[in-house]
Amino acid sequence: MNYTISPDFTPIIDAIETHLVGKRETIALSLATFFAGGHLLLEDIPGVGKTTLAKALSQALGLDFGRIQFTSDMLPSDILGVNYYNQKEGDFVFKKGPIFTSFLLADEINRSMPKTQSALLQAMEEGIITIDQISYTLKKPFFVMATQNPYEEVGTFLLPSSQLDRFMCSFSIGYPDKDAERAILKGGSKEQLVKTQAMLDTKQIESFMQKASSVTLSDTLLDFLQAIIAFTRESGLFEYGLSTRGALALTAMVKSWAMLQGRTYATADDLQMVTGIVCAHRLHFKEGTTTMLRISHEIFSKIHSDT
Amino acid sequence: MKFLNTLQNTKFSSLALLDISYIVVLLPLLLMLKIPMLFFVGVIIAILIFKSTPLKSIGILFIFMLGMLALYLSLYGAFSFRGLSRLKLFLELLVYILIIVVAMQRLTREINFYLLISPFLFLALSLFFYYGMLMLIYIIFELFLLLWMILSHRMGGDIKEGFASSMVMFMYSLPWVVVLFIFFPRISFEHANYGFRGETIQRMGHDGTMYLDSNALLVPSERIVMEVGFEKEIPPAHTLYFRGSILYIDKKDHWEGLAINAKRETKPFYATTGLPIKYQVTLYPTQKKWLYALDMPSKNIKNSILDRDLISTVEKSIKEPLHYSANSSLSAKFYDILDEETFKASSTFESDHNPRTYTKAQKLQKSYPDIEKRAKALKHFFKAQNLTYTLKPDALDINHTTDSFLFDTRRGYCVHFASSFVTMARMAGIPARIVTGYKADFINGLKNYLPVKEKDAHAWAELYINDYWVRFEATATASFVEEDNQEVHSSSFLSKEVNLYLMYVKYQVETWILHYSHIRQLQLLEYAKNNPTFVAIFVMSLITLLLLTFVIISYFKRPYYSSKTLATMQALLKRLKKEKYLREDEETLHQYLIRYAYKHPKKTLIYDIDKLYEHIIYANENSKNKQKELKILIKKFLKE
Amino acid sequence: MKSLVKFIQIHRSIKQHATRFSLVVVVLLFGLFMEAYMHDFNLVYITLFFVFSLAFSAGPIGVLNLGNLQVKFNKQGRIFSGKETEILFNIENPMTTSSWSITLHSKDNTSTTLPQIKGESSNNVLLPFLAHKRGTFSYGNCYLESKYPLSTARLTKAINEVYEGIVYPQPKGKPLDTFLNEQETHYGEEKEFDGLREYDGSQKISHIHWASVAKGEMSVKVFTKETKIHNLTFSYNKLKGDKESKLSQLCLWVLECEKKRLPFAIELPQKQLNSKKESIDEILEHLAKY
Repeated sequence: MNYTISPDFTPIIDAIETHLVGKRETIALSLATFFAGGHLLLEDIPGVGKTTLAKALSQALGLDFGRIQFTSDMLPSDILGVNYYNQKEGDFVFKKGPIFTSFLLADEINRSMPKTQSALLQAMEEGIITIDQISYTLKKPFFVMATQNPYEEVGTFLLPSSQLDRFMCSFSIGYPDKDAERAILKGGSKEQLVKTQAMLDTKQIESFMQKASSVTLSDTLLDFLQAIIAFTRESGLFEYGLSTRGALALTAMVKSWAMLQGRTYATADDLQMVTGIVCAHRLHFKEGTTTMLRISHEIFSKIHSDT
Repeated sequence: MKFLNTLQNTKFSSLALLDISYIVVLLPLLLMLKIPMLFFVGVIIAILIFKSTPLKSIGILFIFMLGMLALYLSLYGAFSFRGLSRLKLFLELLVYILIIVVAMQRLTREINFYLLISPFLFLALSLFFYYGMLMLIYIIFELFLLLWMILSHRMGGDIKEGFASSMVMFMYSLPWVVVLFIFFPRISFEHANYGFRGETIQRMGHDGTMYLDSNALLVPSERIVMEVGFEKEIPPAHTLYFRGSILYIDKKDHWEGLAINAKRETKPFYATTGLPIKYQVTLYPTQKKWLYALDMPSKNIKNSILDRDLISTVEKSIKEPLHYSANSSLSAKFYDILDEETFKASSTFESDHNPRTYTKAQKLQKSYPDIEKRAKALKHFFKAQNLTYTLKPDALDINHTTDSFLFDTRRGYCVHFASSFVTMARMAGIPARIVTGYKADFINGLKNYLPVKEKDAHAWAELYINDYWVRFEATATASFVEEDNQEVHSSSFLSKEVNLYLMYVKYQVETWILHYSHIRQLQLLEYAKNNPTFVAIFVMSLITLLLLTFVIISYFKRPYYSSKTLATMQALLKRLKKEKYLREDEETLHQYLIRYAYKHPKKTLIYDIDKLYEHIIYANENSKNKQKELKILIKKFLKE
Repeated sequence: MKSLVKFIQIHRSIKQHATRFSLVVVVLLFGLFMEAYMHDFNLVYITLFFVFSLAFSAGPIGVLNLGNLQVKFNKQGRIFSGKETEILFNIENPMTTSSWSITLHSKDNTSTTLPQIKGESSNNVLLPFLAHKRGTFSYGNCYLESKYPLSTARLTKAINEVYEGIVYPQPKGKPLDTFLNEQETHYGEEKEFDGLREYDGSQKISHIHWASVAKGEMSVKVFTKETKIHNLTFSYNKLKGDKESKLSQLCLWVLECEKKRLPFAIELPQKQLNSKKESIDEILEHLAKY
């Protein structure tokens, strides 16, 4: 473990960990994504705690929680909302969709049709939705945690890479390790868990986000970062290199991860930590399977820091 | 700085590198090119600048014709088959042809083998034409630059890296060059005389006449006439008289030597006595035939004639720097038996030219029958006249020069003093003559090196007393010396000193490098045999050179780190490596240090180092203090 | 002492060949010597000694420049017959100083010039390679060459390692979609009619609801799909053509399945291959060696 979480955040992580035993790193990375102002894509088989993580996280952050279960017959209006005719008032009234919340869990996003997916993803990107020429601003902060079934599942629509790019990070929670699983098995069922107390208010969240964005990136680190970006584009290993949006996401995550450790500057370690999760859904190896670990291994065995 | 940065980042094409080489090797040769050929070179450069596409074959043909025309015009007149046997002309022709051929190839903008090797041919050819200190420096510069260009070409036009590598190679070869230069056997012919004609400025030598009027030789110039290197230190100031010519005949406004000077050659000179001394002289072109040697010469200078008056002459007037070694016995007098002719020449005077002096001289002759005492009295008489030494004398009455100097103006410099002294000595019955030459200024010397300047030109008297010619410094009788204003405005003391050191270095380089020869080599070996300390010093200096080479090489071979901080960290990293802790591929420096610290719980200092490093590199806290702190921490850690 | 032994070792691994510039140096040395000898010109002597010692020191510098390099073959991608690919060399420089001006030559006279190889780092270099036949192959007899620093000698260093690789059959034939369309239910079993949806281009053409097209709309029939798709099974015997074209066809499908992450099985006359049991590379290897 090459990081130490700042005492500002350890209680939050502790609290969430009671729901998701043995997944401190996952929790910390989710927090970092949140403070970086990005959205998160979880790719997992069902039943490893995606929903639990989302719920606990939203409670700990004190955000109102919304959930959309994506199905194949879902339409954009099911997410954004609709204008309906109010007979009493004799006028069209906008009924807000579930997207008008601070913390949105978009469950099994790849089950819906591309059209529906893109409606959500555009809203995520812009923070504004427009229906019948009227714009509605989404809440701030607005954080989407989308989950996606692994590809082998039947009847799913793969997210195109242009859409994937809008998620800042993607990773999977994975199975718990032996000890943690044992603890879960001992602990009993979900219902026994108590609701987590909100541990931050909106002001605190805003100040943390502010802190994250003002983390120092030294020239040395920027050189390293640029070397990595250049590597993804020029090595010939990947089908496409990292886009500028991807590079921006990488910087934002590095800063946020540094902030999470209570530092005002980012280091090469931070970059190493987040590169895999930022790039996993953005890069594809020309041959063989693409995994987070393989990406960060390929990159960091060739591009060295501090030399 | 900005310029340097751009220079660092630009990659030079092979053609550009080649052009630089050509510019450098052609520069000295341009000085000797005739006008038509210079014009041709100018045309080529203009075409290269203004036309960026390769020239077609018709253009090349035109250039060829133009080149041939330039060649014809340049060598017109000098060109004949007989002329070709003269090496210099032949070499000049070679240079011209090479220039034309290179120009033709260069204009096609294609690099071929011959274009690549021609800079070396130019370099080798230019060695025939130039010789001297400047060329020595330039040759070394040229060799380095060519090496630099070759390496830059090999490195894909990266001249910065090329410079470092060429410096390394150059330094590798330098000790070899030094050792080879000193020890390589020199069984070769005489040093050739053709070539370098750089020093054409004429020095004011003595021409065997001495004017007393406005034609007088008075050159208060700092220009060096000759440089003298003594074997040991410079002899005392009062002995530094360099004899040039001897004047016997008084022609009212000037003095001349004997017309039958040649006759005296046949007569052998008598051996001189005194402290023997040996020295090397570099005499710059005087356009005259006299060589200068210290009073009194004891041996013939090679290739010259030493006559009975101890005057050395060469057959042809000196038109280029001349090096000779000379031997003298330090003495103010020498033994000679006067023959009739010389006696007559050195006793003749016209009493009616200087009647007043004559009367006084007669008095002296009568009062002092002893010739030695008479000469002394003569000196006293001069002293009593309250004469003033000045470089700005009043005009003398040309018909009565001695009278006018001694009794009227009483102002003059060496020529006036010497002339009057000799005249009056003759009138008093002592055979006397004027010697012209140089009285070197001891202050100008440094260690064993003594430059003689034009303003050191001097004239003094020689009186024949009891079978000896005795030197009399007539100017020493002056009662007053008028400060020379002209000297005041000349350079300050410090710059003089620096200048002197530079001259000294130049002189040493010339003697030990440019004129190093088989004889020198033997001398050196001989000297080394008898002087173990010298051998020790020599070996030590060779070792010093090797060390210097090593330092320079390691400076240029040093690995490059992206930051100063990382360079500071190297000491620590080397230590960890030694302890078999290798940094893994995917490890950041922080992880590496922590891994080490984890295994060595006692070495807590490494945490501090890690933290400080992180702050400097990543938190932009790169101040001098922090750097210092890091250095101290690392030192501390290494000591633990 | 240690470094001297190492230098001798390195020196032995390198062969030196004369170039025409070696001749230039010899001629230049001779000419300068004559010039110096005839006229006792110290300047010429100095030039002569410089040329001599520079040419002399060029030897070890060139040897060190090339001799320290270590070459390994790196596994690079898959090689298919008839398809222009590259062999990946990893050239490592363990010294602290850079190596310059090095070219890599292969047995079939292809060569490539390497950029600067910085100290304590490695470069990856590609040489083009074209395999004509599937199966195993070995790639050797390569060597590094350098004229650094003065072109006065051509140094070569043989690469002793030999690359053993496999050439897979050339992927050729009908695309996977054609095969899938021949299968009945490649998206799973359509169990229950679920309604109509607007056609957005992503659905199967056979699912278009033609009745709605007649009305001017374009809808597709939607079914709930419940069971997973059956494993795709490619049978060698069912394919048409000669052996090579059959293997090429299988190879193509394997690659397409890998891309679409579809599990599949292959039935060879004596062998069953399954993507769930064997990795794609193993399956391809079987095809290559079949």
